[in-house]
Amino acid sequence: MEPVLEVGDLKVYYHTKRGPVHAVDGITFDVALGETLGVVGETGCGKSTLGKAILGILPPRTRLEGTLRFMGRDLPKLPKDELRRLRGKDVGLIFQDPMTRLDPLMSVEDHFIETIRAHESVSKNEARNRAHRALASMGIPESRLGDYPHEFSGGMRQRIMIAMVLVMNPKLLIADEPTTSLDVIVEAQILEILEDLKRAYRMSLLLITHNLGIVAEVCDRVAVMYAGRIVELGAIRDVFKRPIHPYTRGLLSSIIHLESKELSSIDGLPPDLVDPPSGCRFHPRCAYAKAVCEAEDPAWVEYRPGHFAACHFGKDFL
Amino acid sequence: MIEAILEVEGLTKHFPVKLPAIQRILTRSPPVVHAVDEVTFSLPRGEIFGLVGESGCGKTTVGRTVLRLLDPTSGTIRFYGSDGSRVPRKAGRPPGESGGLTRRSRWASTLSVLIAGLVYYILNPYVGFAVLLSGLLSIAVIEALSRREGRVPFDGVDITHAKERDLRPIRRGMQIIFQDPHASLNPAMSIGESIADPLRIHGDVTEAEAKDAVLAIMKEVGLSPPEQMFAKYPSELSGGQKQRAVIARAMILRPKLIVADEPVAMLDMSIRAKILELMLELKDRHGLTYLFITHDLATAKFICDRIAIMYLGRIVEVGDAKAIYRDPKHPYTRALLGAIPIPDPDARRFKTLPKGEIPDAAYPPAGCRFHPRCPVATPACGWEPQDVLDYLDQRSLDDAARRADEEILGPRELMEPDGPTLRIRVAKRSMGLSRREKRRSAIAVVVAGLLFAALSPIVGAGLVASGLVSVLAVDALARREAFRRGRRPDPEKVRSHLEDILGKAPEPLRQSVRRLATTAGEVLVEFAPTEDPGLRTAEEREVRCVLY
Repeated sequence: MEPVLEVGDLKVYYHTKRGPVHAVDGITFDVALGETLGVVGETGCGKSTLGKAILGILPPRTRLEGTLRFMGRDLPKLPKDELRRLRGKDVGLIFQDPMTRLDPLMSVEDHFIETIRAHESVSKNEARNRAHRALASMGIPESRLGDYPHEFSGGMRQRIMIAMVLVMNPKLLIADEPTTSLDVIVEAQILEILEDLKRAYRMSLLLITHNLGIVAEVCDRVAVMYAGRIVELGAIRDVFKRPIHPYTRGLLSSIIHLESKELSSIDGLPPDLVDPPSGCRFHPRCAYAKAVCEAEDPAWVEYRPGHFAACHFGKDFL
Repeated sequence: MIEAILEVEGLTKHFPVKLPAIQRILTRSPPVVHAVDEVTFSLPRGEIFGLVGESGCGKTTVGRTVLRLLDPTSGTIRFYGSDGSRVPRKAGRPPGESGGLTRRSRWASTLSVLIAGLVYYILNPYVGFAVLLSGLLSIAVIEALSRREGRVPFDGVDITHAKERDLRPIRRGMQIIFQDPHASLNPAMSIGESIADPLRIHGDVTEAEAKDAVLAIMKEVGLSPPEQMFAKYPSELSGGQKQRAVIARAMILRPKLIVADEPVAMLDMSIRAKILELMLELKDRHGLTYLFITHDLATAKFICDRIAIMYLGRIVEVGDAKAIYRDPKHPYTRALLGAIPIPDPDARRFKTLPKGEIPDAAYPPAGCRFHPRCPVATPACGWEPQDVLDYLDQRSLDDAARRADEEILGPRELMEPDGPTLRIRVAKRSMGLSRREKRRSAIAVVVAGLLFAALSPIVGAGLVASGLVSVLAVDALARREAFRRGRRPDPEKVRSHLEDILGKAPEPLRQSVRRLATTAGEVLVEFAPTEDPGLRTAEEREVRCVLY
């Protein structure tokens, strides 16, 4: 079956005074229908840039190379108005911070009416009815439809955002840190909602997050990003139970969770993306680094079926 | 018993809710946000005490109030200063030391003023008086000023209401690490200047001494090479390095107590451990005590000796960290622990999450504040009228139920909680204007008509006529609307519908309704008055729950 989203050798270079920032530097993956792919990495690894590139909302003067195909259509080559029709309708987006993504001067109902009528020519009443149903499915009663964003709690705002994406019934949902600013209990509630939706709508989900716990709970596959590149990609169980890349291992062991027995961390700092390290970008922080790591880019190797990693010594870590 | 460094008793902090001016005048008791309510704990020297809870539970407010960055509404805070003395002294001047002038100097100066006055009196009586007066006055002023100077800052004990100038020296002993390292460093100050700032404020040190101290502490927190880092600005540092700088700034005065407010929440996973290790190291080396504020139970488990779980301004469970993690007692603690995602794909499990969200802290639920969301609530947990209203909200998600409720019970304005009783007004007559309303509006129309009649009789007459017609029209329309909705006053019907609704409500809510009653024009849902369960002792800890 054809994947919903295909990303091939994607490069995104931001324009700055110091020169181009290699925020995303040659990444390749695809998302199948109904699948949830997690993209994890730390601050500045390029994971949010990836989401923006797919939606075509990068800042001006940003260079984009490579292929981005959604349902067989080449996104960067689409005319502006066609892309606009696609965005919000077939590709939904949930942002990190629900506090700032709703217009404070518009009631919740108006948000819905605007969104629905931007994509479909339906009457205001029809739009309103659909808004009711979508919000009721998120547990928000009709009496609150006329309220303004500031009258809702963070969790409710995020549920409103989700409801707004869902009224359009998208094929692909990009969720960029959807629960980062929420408390654990609300976070768990939102994740439960996302899981139910995935099942009910056969929707593909690209979940961008720094929280490996969330990835383990909701994703089918995971891509680990470091300094603009994917260093490891595979089924969730493979990557969490039998990680190959030293960065993935470091990241997994540095999580502080209820069962962790000791503290561990990765030495050093993430690299400057204006002038990234040569060869494997992780080599300056890698405990196993040898001369070859500095000299050559590691190859993208399939070590197990569907389990890829970019490490010169991948075999040794199997 | 290990000596306490900090004792907090019944600490309460309420924030006023901002209301528009007119409402403020009309409201008898303006609402307050119950940020912290009756929080009591004691912090032994050398302990790491965790305050854990979700946003809005009051944990940060406790941290800031303890440092007196906020003034408490009530309760006491006792801080046993740098040398650990526990001599109970009140803030301000210690007894027996008055400060001010000595008796001898007071006598001498008064005498000289008198003599000077006398001399001038002989020359000119007025000048003499003036000299005398101004002289005595200035003695009095000098006396007062030097008395104030002479107030010896105390070292410890009750700082609940201590004045800012008395707090200053104490603040050396208590410092804070804020959550967001990007926001807590001045971007226009170099790292070295930022770290040296507390020294400049608190101590009289020379620039050279300050720099040496800063370099030493920078080395200690791992900002190396310190000489280079000294001149850098926050924008040139990574998040982890900034947090190290913030820790160095807190440490430079060699404090005894550090309030760490989410010190690693904003940092990437891979460096959190490093910062926590640094904090543990500093604690061991300098004998620090931490009040560790976090929302992350996993981090708290790692670092804390004891923890207190907070919910809506109250501590719901407090005790030995190991015991609480091994066997959480309070249903909220259990929910919190159960909600943490585990980074293991095989550990995906079915979770029982609490219903809904944290209620508004301006109107906290009665009884146990967690009862509306609690999965194991009993009828004794403090059910109240608000819970019925919330249940009606939940019912309104279903279209049919919403329509039925609206038709029979009427709009929400007719329902009003009154202590442990929910009053639902049942309109007596048809919904037109009352006789009094009609009479009043007619009078108003006639008065306006008369005023205008003085200018022009025709305008006046027209005004009266059109006014009366519109009053009648409003009345007729309101009647018709009421008729169309088919709402006729029938308290019995309202009562039986409520009975139906409560029959479908969750078990504990249903069982806690004491009585459904109808009076003239009102249907009452009565609950038993309830109280907060209070902290109860259960297996090495205290729990605020009726189950124990």
